[in-house]
Amino acid sequence: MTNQEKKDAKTSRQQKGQMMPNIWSRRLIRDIVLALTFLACGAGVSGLRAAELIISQGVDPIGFDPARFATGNHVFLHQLYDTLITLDAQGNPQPALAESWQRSSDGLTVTFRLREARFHTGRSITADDVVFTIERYKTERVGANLLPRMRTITAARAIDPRTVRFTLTDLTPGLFDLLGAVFIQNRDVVDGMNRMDAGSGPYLLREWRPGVQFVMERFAQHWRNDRTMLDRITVRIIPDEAAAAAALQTGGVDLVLQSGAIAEQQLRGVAGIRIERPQSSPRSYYLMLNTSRPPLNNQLVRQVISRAIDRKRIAEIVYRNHGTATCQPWSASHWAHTPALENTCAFNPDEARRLLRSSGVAPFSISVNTAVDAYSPGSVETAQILKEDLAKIGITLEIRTFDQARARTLLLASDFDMLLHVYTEGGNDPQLVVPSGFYGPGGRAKYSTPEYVALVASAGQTIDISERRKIYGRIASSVIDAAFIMPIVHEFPSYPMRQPLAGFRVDNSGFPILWGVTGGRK
Amino acid sequence: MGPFVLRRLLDSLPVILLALMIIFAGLRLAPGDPAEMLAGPDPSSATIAAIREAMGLDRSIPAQFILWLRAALSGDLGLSLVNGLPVSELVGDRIGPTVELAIAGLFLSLVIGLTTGLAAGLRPGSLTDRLVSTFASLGLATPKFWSGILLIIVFGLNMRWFPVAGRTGFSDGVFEAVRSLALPALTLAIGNAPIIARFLRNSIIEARKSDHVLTAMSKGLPMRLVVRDYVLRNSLIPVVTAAGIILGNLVGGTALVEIVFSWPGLGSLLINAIGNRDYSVVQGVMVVVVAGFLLSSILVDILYGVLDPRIRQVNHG
Repeated sequence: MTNQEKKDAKTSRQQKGQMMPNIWSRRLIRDIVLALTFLACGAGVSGLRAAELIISQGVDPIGFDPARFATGNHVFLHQLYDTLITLDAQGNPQPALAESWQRSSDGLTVTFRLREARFHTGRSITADDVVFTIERYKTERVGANLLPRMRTITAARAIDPRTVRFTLTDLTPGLFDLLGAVFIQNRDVVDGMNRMDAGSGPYLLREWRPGVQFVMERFAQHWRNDRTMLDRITVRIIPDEAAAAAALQTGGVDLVLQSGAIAEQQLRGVAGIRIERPQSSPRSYYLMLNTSRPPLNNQLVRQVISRAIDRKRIAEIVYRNHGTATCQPWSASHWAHTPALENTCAFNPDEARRLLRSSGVAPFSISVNTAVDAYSPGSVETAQILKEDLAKIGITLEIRTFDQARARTLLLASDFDMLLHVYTEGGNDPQLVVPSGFYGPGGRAKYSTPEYVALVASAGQTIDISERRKIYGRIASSVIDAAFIMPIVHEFPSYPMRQPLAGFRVDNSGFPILWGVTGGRK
Repeated sequence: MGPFVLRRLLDSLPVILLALMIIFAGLRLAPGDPAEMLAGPDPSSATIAAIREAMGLDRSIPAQFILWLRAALSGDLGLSLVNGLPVSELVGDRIGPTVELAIAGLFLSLVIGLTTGLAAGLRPGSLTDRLVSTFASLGLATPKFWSGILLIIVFGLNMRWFPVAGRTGFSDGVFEAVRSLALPALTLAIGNAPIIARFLRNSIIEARKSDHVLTAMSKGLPMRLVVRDYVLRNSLIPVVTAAGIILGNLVGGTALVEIVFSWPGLGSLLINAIGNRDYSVVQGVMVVVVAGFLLSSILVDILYGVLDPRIRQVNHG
């Protein structure tokens, strides 16, 4: 550096030094203004966003593996995990982790383009993670609830890091309902899902104290973070329903999950509390008949029982008018529902007596399996009404009640004459319900005819909605006629909550969606 | 005292082993299967078999027991079949709240039971005695879950004096911890205080008829001294027996109260584990419950010795 350059530099520093106070003061003012603006905006945002939601539920989660749909797990599924697509209120698929998709011309392959998104560990989600998730759901020892339905995806292949292709066994009309419950998992951390999540959802698991509570906090890097309204969700475990209702009344919690009649009675009319019943995911209570056991192998005898059931009385007394008596597998809010069929199973003891005479079967004794409320709500009370109804036409009913483990063993082994139970998949595409142990040919009721097999198979051969509506109408009609399973009541579960809460939703499987909830506590 | 306690502990080991064998076999022979509970609504037999294998339930029951016992002796109670967490951790987290509730429940039971039992025993046939008897019968007849719900409604919901659910640890503030403990402990006391009161009342009535008490009274000793030194001390032996049994029961028998008050103790853990057929957790809880019973029994033996030197001599002899 020459002397002149040193001088210039010195002059420059002096000039800067002279200007420094002005610059600093202007910067200071600017920074203060910016900070205040930011704080004001922040306050505005937090004013819009509820800071926290405290929920109560009766049971602990069984770890944080989203392949398991145990009741205690429902609340975290859509919070900690993302799916490829979600379904809107009309049941149409909407982009989620997949920003777009395309079916092949034969309909047997579907290619998904993934958006840029990250797991909670910070790693980008790739097509390999989707492939891993699909394979994991299909692994027997994982015990995924969706395993039987996942067999429709014969192969999942990563085309490139952001493109994945599924090959299907058939057109699989219920594919999007299925994928709406397939939660994408981080293959690096799935082994730790007994303590932490392996997801990419709008919240990440911050704390779990088994038997006490678990806490989920906003995942700031979530692809939809700007639409996440709550910063923190705490799920408290309150096993007793009355205590949960009392906690809601005293402000200990904001929302009660798995609420039942006791809580509802306690909370009805209480100021500041309302009870919502989203019409997306009914609990469908049914009577199943083992068609391999005489005299239930006689279709006329099964029809006798169907006509002898006073469904309306059961809906009124057991489900306190919150359920709707029904003949068919889907509730009135579902697109597959056929209104004309609802009169075909009306309570008619005279017709039941006539059918019994026609069957040539003498009055007989039979048993019905029921279970404790936690496993099969209302089944014992329903059985008592059924016993009265059947006695009027000369059929003696023995009610057998089991704890949930024993009841489940007997159900899976088809070791029953009749059983009362419930399914919760009825809000989904019928393809997820019909080829199953409930309604499928050769299911737990051991019912199968070539015509019924062909009819059920035909439902998987088209994705045209009007055609499908007709097919499911015929399937519902066959179910009513064959009477191997008798839907009795569809009931939409209740969710008591504090008055300011809004935006609470459940998906078609009854899994809560909480990221859009507003009105939580500050 | 030391050798006596050690001998009693050693005597307890076969009892614990036998109890565990019965529990282990009983669980596996009971209807229901943890693999079926986990396998979803519509599982195939292949799925159930694969889960059973992953859980180690495909081995014979004796093989499972030996494996479990070997691990348990080294302090490893295994993993929960349902959530995969270490059983020692799950059980360990619940022992504190259960012991806390058991001690608080016993303390309140003793305070209420001793006071009312003393009052009734010193004036048999009086109005106080009849009132104590009536309330004792009511307390014994009332199901704990019902009295718990009643207390929640009155003191939690209407008066808002106490929280309606959950536990606050003492590390989070003594006042809040005591508030959260009050109603569940009172619920336990409503059921247990009458037992203590009845034992004490009858015992006092008997003791007052004994020769040494009559002698003391005839010597003109003040009634207060007679009661304290001659009546009460001897009357407490059956009460200690009752309190010991109550304490043992409270370690594993507070499940309903824990559920009503969302108290994260061993009882509610046990109930859930039985429902899910989570064998490892049930076994882990039962180890603690059986040990709790045996320890409270040893404690009772020690207290016998403190109250009555003759018993101490027999025990030490």
